[in-house]
Amino acid sequence: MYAQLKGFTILGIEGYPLLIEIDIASGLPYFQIVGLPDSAIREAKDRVRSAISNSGFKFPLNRITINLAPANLKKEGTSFDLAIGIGLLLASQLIKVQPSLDISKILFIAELSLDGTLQPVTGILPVMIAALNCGIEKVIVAKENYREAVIIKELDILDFDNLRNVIKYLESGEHANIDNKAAEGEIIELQPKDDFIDVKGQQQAKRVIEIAAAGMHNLLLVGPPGSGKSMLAKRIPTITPDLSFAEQLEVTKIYSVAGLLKHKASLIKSRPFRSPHHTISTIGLIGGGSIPRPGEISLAHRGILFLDELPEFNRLVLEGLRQPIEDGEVHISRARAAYQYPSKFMLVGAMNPCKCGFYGTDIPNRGCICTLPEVMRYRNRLSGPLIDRFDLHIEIPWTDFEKIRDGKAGRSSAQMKETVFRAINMQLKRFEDSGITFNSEMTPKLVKSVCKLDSESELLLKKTFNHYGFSGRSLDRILKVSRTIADIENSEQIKPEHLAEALNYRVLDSKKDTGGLE
Amino acid sequence: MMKQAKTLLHLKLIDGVGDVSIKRLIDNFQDCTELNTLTVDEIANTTGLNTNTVLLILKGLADKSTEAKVEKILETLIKKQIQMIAGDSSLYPAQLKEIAQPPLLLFLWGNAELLKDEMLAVVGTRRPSHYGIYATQKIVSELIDYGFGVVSGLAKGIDSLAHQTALKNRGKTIAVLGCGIDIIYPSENRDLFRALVRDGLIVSEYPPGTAVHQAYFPLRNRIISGLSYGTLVVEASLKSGTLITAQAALDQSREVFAVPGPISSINSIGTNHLIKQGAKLVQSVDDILEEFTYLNLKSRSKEKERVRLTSKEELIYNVLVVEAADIDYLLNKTGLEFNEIYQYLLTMQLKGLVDKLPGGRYMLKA
Repeated sequence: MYAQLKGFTILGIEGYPLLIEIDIASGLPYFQIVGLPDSAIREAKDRVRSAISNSGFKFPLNRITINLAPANLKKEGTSFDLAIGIGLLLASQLIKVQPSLDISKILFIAELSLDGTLQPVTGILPVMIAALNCGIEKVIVAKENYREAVIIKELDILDFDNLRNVIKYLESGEHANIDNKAAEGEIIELQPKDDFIDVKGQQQAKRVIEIAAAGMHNLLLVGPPGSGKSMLAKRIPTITPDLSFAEQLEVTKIYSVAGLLKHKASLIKSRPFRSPHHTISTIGLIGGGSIPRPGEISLAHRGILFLDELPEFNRLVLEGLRQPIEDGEVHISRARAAYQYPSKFMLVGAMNPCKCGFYGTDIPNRGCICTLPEVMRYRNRLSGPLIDRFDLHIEIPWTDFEKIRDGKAGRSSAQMKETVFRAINMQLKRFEDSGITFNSEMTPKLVKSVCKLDSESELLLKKTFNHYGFSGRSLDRILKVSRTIADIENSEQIKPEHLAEALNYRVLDSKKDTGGLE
Repeated sequence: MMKQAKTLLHLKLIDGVGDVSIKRLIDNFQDCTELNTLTVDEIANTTGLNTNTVLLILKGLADKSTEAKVEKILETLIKKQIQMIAGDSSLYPAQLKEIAQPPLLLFLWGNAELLKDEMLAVVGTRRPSHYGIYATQKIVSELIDYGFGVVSGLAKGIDSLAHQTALKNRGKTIAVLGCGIDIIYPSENRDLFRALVRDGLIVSEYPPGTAVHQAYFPLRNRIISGLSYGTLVVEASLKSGTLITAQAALDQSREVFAVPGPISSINSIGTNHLIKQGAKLVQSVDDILEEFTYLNLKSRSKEKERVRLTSKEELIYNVLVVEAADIDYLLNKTGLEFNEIYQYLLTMQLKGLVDKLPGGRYMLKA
């Protein structure tokens, strides 16, 4: 007596189709699951046995073998419980499926409690997407997973509270809740509800943030404590463009795999904003672990990764960022498999100019107490290659009392968002056929064709490079940023003033930043 | 000539014998050759030294290991092309002989001819403010323009900056060390040190290999002021070693100049105090030149060419001429757009008119 069902496991953030085979043969009572199950799957034996007994069926006392094919792929998680239970009942012919239901097109995905209750599992969304591509028509999930599952509208999602009701449905072919509930779930609010209007003064900083958000450029804020770096950074999500549907799916998939969706919400619609503490480990930031999980950089995919107090992060952790920033994805290789998580994010770093925090400020009675070597040592905690990966550097000046009290409120998030949208529209038009969205994603080849300079700009660029000794690596970034500035100004051509502004945002490149005191 | 210097070097290497004793000895017995023929008491009576010191000296002079050290140092000097001169040398600067305790021996590394030129000491704090940096760059470049050389102590901060500015303007500069002439201290000045050996002069009264010692720095200061017509203090706190240099200049009856500063600044307490005590307040190089009209110095650049500014650059210039400013301040004062401000700031930086300060501010270049 044999039965087979479809199942899916998760590799990275993608669902991978499996075949769940159940064989019941005569012999001494025996129950074995093969096909490289992890211990959570192995323990399914006990859950399934109790759930079946407690649902009013007699658990078959035979030789039971369950195979998860392909057998050489490691599988994990508790999402196979329901499928194993149903398979057992089918194989032992304890239940009869309504002939109108095609069991090979139904996917069972839930964990079982001992009393037969269906429990939610993580990673539903990637499985739904994979299921759709494998010809699955109906999916049976726990109630709590319903909202996440219905994101894929093409699938018929059926939610149940316990095993008994699932069986009842299979035997009768009738489901009480077969009409879809409100397909739109709640939106996860990943963004803080702040507004740039709260930040007084700081016109330059707001300007540079507009540019960064418009082109998704990596941004480094340097300034003394209390100058408003964190305040500014936390408000960046209020002006970033919304996610497209494809991007929403990508982001939600990651959160689904990471188990961060919970059951109350479905699709993530706004750009994520992640700000991990500086004590974070490499695995926490990049992803990995013995059971690989996406790290903060993947949770910030299509959104913003804010690293406050950048030099306080472990150096190795920061250096780990270099490859994902360049590639937009991170590869984590383990003995049995290589996982791949997307990581296209905008990196926002904030740091003090020196250890005491006041280098470069002339505040009465509170100047910097660091010696120049101390300042250098503090800055050297960030490697050159890492600094190179920030398109925009800006020094936020100390805000004195008068500026805070009398400062004009300046631009609000709504006004800034308008500016950003202007640039986004330009970029959408330009990159229609290139498969990218933002200026920061341009390949060197695209930069060459898109960022053409007139002779005046070319001369300015040359002079500045010679004067300040910029590194060659900065060149592309400067061009990309000038492109974004031109977009903000609605200009097809990069003009000298756009280039000049971009050049001014590379302060940390120039060795002359030490006030002539090298 | 060399013989006296060598004897002095040998004497200096004897433990427990100070410069004063050596001076007394040398004043009576030029090269110590006749010492062997005299008794201890005779030497003591002639020189006024006590018998213990005389014994120490005689023992030291006869000591083979000290002699080996002398030879080793002489070798180093030749290898590194360092000169060693004593008071009898024609290179020994006359103005240094006038001071209370002229160094018995001088080690010179670099262009020794600089000792004959008109020099001004420029000293100040190790931790200058931007104002101090500005003042040093401005006044030193003006001094160089008028043909003055700059003497300083190669310490961090103002001292290093004074040397750098002088070298940058192709001027003359002398660094006086408070340690062995081949010891680079502070070590971050390595490049500056090499530049000084190449284009300037390094002076020390300590033989090669003498380690850095706190007590040597105040002593060095008397040479800094001694080599100079006057001493300019740019920034100094009240307890600064810089004030020792100023005091040394006074003792040597040389001019003392000081750059005034805000009363709120720790870095200006010392200089303002000096002015109160009678030091000359310096706003520009003219205030210094006034005291040396007899030198009849002339500006090298005849008419400084004023760089042409566009009308919008002029707007920015007019704000920066008052004080250093950040972008927000410039935006509000000039009414220009972001693009424009950045563009003109950049072109003005390229023209060498504007400097960027750390902390996101801009100022006019000296």
